[in-house]
Amino acid sequence: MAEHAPQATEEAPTEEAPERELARDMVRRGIVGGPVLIGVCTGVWGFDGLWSSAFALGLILFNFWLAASLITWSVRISPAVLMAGVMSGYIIRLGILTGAYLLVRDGGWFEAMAFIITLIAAHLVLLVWETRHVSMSLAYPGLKPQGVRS
Amino acid sequence: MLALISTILAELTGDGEAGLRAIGGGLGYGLAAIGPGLGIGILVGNAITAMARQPESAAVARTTMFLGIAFTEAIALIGFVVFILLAP
Repeated sequence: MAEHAPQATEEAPTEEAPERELARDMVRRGIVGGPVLIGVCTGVWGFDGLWSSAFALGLILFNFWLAASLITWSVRISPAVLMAGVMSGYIIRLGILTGAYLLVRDGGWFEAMAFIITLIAAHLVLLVWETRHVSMSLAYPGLKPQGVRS
Repeated sequence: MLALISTILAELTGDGEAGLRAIGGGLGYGLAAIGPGLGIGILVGNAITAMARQPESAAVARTTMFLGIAFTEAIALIGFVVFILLAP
């Protein structure tokens, strides 16, 4: 009798979490590149721009980290929980963004334009930057191969 | 219709334009969140299908799914910006 051939679906689940690696990359790049955006906002709107821009950058980085954490947590349980986790995560993250804005909008230091520009620019720039990085290292998504310089 | 709403809001709040702006901001944000919601649902559904069919390439599917979710969410962020700009 032929030996039982292992099926692809019977493979032990791996512990890798590519989305968490992506989020970690994005947070690192946000911390490195963010001060440029914050500097521009400070130049235009002064200290109000600085605090508002830094607040928006923090929100965006937290948003990426939370999204990745929710996926990593839910994908271990089941596909149905992954679907529910991503959809509820979307609502929760939008709620956090809205709540954070409503909390600070009446503060004397809050500058709406600096907040908006940083929010959109940081989100898109970090995403495009990360997508470019992933495209360059398709063999190891989200991770730059060790010892290989692209 | 808008004039009627504006009149009612003006009676209630004393400032019809601010009321209309609040309604517009809320509607804009809500409507802008529907599209990304649908997009993320389709995206995750297809990613789950890909992971079920080829478990060995689940990491690639998850990477693409995460980036897709983040790109789709940018549209909701634009709705959020409209809300900020219109909110009184």
